[in-house]
Amino acid sequence: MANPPKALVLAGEGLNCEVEAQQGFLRAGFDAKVVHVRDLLSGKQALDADVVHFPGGFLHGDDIGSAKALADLIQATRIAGKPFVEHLAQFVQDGGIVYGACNGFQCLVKLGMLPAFDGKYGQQTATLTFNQSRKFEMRWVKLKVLPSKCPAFDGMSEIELPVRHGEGRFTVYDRFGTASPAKGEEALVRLFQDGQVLAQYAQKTGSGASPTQFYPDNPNGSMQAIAGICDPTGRVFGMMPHPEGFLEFENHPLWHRRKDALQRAGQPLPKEGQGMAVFHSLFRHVKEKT
Amino acid sequence: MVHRIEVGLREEPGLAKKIQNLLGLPVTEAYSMSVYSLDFDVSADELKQLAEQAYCDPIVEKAAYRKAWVSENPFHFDLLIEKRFRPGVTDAVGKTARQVATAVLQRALKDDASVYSSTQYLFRAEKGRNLTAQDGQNIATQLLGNPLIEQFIVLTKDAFKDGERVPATVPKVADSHKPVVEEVALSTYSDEQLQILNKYRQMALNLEELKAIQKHYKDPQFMQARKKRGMGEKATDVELEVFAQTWSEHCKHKEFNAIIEYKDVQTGKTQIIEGLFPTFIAGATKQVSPHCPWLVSVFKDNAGVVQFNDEYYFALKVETHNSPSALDPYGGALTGIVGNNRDVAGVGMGGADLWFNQFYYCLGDPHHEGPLPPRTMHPRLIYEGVVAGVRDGGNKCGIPTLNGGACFDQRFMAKPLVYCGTGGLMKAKIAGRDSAEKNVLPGDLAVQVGGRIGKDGIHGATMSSVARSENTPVTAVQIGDPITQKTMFDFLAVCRDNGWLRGITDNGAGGLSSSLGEMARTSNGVRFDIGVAPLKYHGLQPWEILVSEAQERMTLAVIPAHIDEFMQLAKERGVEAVVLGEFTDSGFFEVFYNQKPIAYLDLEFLHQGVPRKRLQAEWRGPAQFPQKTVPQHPVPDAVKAIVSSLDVCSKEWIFRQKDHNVKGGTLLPPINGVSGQVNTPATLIKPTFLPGREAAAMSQAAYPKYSDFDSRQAALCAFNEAVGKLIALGAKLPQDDTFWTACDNFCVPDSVYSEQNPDGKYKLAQLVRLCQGMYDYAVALGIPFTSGKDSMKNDLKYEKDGKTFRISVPPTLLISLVAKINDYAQTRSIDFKAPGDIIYVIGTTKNELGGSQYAEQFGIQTGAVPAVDPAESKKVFSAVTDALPLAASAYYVRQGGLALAITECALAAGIGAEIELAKVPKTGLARSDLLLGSETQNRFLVTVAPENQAAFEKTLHGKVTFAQVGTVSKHTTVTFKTLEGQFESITLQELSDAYTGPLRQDLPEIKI
Repeated sequence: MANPPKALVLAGEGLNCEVEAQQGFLRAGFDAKVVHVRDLLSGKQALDADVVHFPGGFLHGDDIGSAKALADLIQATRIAGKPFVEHLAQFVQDGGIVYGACNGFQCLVKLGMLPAFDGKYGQQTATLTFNQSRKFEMRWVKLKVLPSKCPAFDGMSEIELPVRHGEGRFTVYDRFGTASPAKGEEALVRLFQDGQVLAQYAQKTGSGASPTQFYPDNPNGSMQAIAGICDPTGRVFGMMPHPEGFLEFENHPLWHRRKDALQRAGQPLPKEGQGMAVFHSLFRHVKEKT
Repeated sequence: MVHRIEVGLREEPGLAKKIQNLLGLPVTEAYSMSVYSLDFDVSADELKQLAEQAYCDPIVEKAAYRKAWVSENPFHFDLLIEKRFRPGVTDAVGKTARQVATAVLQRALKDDASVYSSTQYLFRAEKGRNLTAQDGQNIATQLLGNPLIEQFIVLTKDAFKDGERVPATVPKVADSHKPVVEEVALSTYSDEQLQILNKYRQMALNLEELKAIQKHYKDPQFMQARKKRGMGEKATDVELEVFAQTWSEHCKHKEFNAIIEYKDVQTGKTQIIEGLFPTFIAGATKQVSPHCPWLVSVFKDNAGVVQFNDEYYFALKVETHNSPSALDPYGGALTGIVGNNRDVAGVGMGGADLWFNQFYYCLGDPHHEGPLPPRTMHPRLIYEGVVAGVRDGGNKCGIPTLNGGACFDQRFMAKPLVYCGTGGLMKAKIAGRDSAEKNVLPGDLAVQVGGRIGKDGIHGATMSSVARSENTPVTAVQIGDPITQKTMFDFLAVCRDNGWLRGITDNGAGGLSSSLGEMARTSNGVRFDIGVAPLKYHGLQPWEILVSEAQERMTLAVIPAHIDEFMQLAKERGVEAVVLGEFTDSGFFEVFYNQKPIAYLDLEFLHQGVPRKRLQAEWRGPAQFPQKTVPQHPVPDAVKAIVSSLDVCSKEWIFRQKDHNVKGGTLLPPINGVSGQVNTPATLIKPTFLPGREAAAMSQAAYPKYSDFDSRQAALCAFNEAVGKLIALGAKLPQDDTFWTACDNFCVPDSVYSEQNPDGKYKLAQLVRLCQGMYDYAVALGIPFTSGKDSMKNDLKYEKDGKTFRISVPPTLLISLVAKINDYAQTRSIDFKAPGDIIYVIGTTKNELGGSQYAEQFGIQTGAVPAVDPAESKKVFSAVTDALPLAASAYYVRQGGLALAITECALAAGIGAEIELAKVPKTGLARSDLLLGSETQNRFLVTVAPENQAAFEKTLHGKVTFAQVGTVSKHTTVTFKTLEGQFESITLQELSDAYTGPLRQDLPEIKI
């Protein structure tokens, strides 16, 4: 392989999943580099990659709302006289992928990079707000993967991943907000119609994966159980769960049980965690494109 | 002019319920909003931009900035409370809001232009009921915040109608003191004057120590040297503060180094102990170290360092933060964990990368009803506060909280114990140098990096009782700012990896005085100017700058050739760094304030001059409690009683809100099982960035209640349990390529005999016996201590009706262990695996119910606490290690006995078992409930697939006592055939209700 695809993994300002996210990219075959957010916003680091990843963390402590401060700072950033958001939109138009997980997803949504209806990047139309439980929670969820424009979950119908957040409720309107409920409902319909929903929180028990509004399988009370979305191109996407938290088969809390059962049944053990599927999918997508 | 921006609303259903539950007030709905008060001039457009775009999420919030939110958006409420910080308290949200304002407004703000954050709460009452201003005060001070660090504005519905509003003011620090250095003619002081000085300056030294300092100021050679440096013969207040900090119990561990006369009243023998620390702690490590080739750096640094593999070191440190957590549970626990993080990040040449956190809480019962000890908060509030503090400290810094526990006792109501631990990894070699060594050279630059200095933590708790004015900065209690610290650590990791640093240490107790004083020891001197140190606000005296315990700061030795790159990167990363001075080899600790010398101290005397204490201990034998027997209960009732005791029940609620998966290395989380509610006895983590199957396993244990019987057994049981849990997981006793590292943390009451502390000699004997037990065990098993800490005065003293009362915590030793696992695929979990598997009990159960959960549930102190023979432990553990590859599950039976063991193994699996109690190896036990409740050590509950039965039994044969006691069932019931010959069943649902009920998320209503 001549030049492997390149991934930039952002770090700094409270982001904290850069190490495992970089591992995910590396193991899938990417040339993955950790880059400080400030270097990206100062122009010191160019957007010269196939994928830019906004990983999870606590950007600025989520002090004025999750990832809100970074979204504000990015909105206020200009490089070479042009708003940074326009550079990012250009990057996507040129075939680049922008991927956010958890805090990074919150940032992309508040920045208006998602869902970016009609390609209007920079206009916020949705949000991720406080969990209905009003608590930060760490738990494992099952996701139903929807057919979407996004290359993240190639060929999968369900996946198990960890969530760890206090503000993950996907919302398009609220009784105290300024967005109108009618418009919000319209947006929800559109997200599904246009293949912009990646995955939904699903019931953990039973076979298959059916979306649920019930806690704790839906850990935050997201509208329509939405766990992740993409833009109209599919190349900007994000989700609350953490694929990089499940790189190894043994990251799953019940791996001892699963291993024991598989061994007794004479079946082989998975070689890696389900979260790796996302990194492999992205790798295939970038390779096919070039 | 101050501009207010109010952004909201958020529903707070949990808060409304809490007010009803704990205060009995008729609040049905609660809401909150964020308030930003801008203390600088803005145009109308700018204000609108900040309010509507920068600070507001328009999808779920509206912003108000001309009038109050509730005036702009008609909203019915009965009570309004606004909570804001007192002057000088860290306001992380305000800091971020200011950063955003600077960027959004595209203009530089003046240095003193600040944004202050506050939170406004709105409450609605039950129809026809009213909420008074007094109700508001109660809600505010009991549930919303802490009057020590926060201020409240309460407006009733009627007051608001009458036109009262939350004033547009900010809690700005206003202090116009002129910096002065006071001088004290120490050499002329009488003993009495020395004592007065000691009290006046809150130095907390004794007369002998004061006289040692005085004598030093009479030394002609020292006087001569001072003169040369432009210093007078008098001691400056700066110097006295340096002595007070450096010679404090906290920094010098004077009681752990004191010479102790230990008298055993029973035998009449007296033994002289040349210091607890050198004899029993460092002594144990010295004994075992020839067999521990992986020991790298023990006791001399901020954390103990061992070799993880050829390339990496592992560092471990556990601290306590008890007094701060008593004053402000959230802030105390938060600064506890982030402060402990700084110890690990401050180890060696450039610090370790933080890998995981752990905690242990000793608290009062959160269900407590009735009177409280004076000046204490309700245990429910302490419990919720400390859980939240450790949570935020870990989550916000992206450090998984991997291990933890909690135990509960009435005495901890008076003084909660909050243990915070951290593990870290670092490359063994950086820039060709050993990363565990601080080799600071003369000429290296002394640099402070991180947060600014305020009056935080100066003279801690004693100041809190002094009358405060509106604008006096808060000193006693601190709030941490995890993100400032995280940002700093990200920056420091780059500096370290680039090889720019030669030494690092944290600014904790004693501030710069301690950090520079400690680091100066490797080069043998330091010279620095505190006039250039960045301050939070004006008005700090030079001595205050030097000893301030303001958080989030590290002190570095930067190689001069790299200082420009260092400062450039700091600027790019938004991290504040300042060169204070340089390290020297002068032998002196030299401090300047704007070029004027203000302290000149002999390093050798500063660190070695403190006189050694002599203390007395008197052991009167194990406590004798009246012989009472626990009334017999049917097996299901006994099991439910045991598994629902607070110490052993599910800690799901505590762990669920703590991230234990971030960094991607976690292989066994602290709560687990098919329902995710079962406590994991020992957890497992790997370095995400390393290929292969190397991992670290960790466990901890404490038995404070056993100390009421005999603290020696408490130490042995804690240590043995911690080891047993690791063995069941798959760790092997120390070998050449597998490190074990132990951290010992003592929390004991005042153990120095005096008229005010008449049983001080007994308490000291208890401490001696804790140490002896710990030493014997460490030496027998070959496990070294690598770091530890002691907290000595955990008592609450108070006067009532002219009499003095004292509540003391039981002597508590927490043993924290981390052991290397060479192949994590070979580990075992606790859950039953498949129906038909055979259940074994290894080890003989004895009549050891003293201090047990079962006895305690019925309020009985009786019998013997479990005895541990370390030689026996070693034998059993080796046998289990040999047999483990044949096991399907393994569990170390501990506190809670077989009742808890069976419950946890079954609940974790979601399937039951059939057990015949007569088959359990036992001696001196004839009752089923006592058999299930005994806490005898060195027992395991193991399951084995039928095809492995023969090999498993063969492996154990002749090495340990063991027996087949039942089988795993496919049903969701545990069925016992009792010793009394009956069949008794209990469903998993019943077990789960008992086990998860006591500390579930919504604790029951009580009056606080």
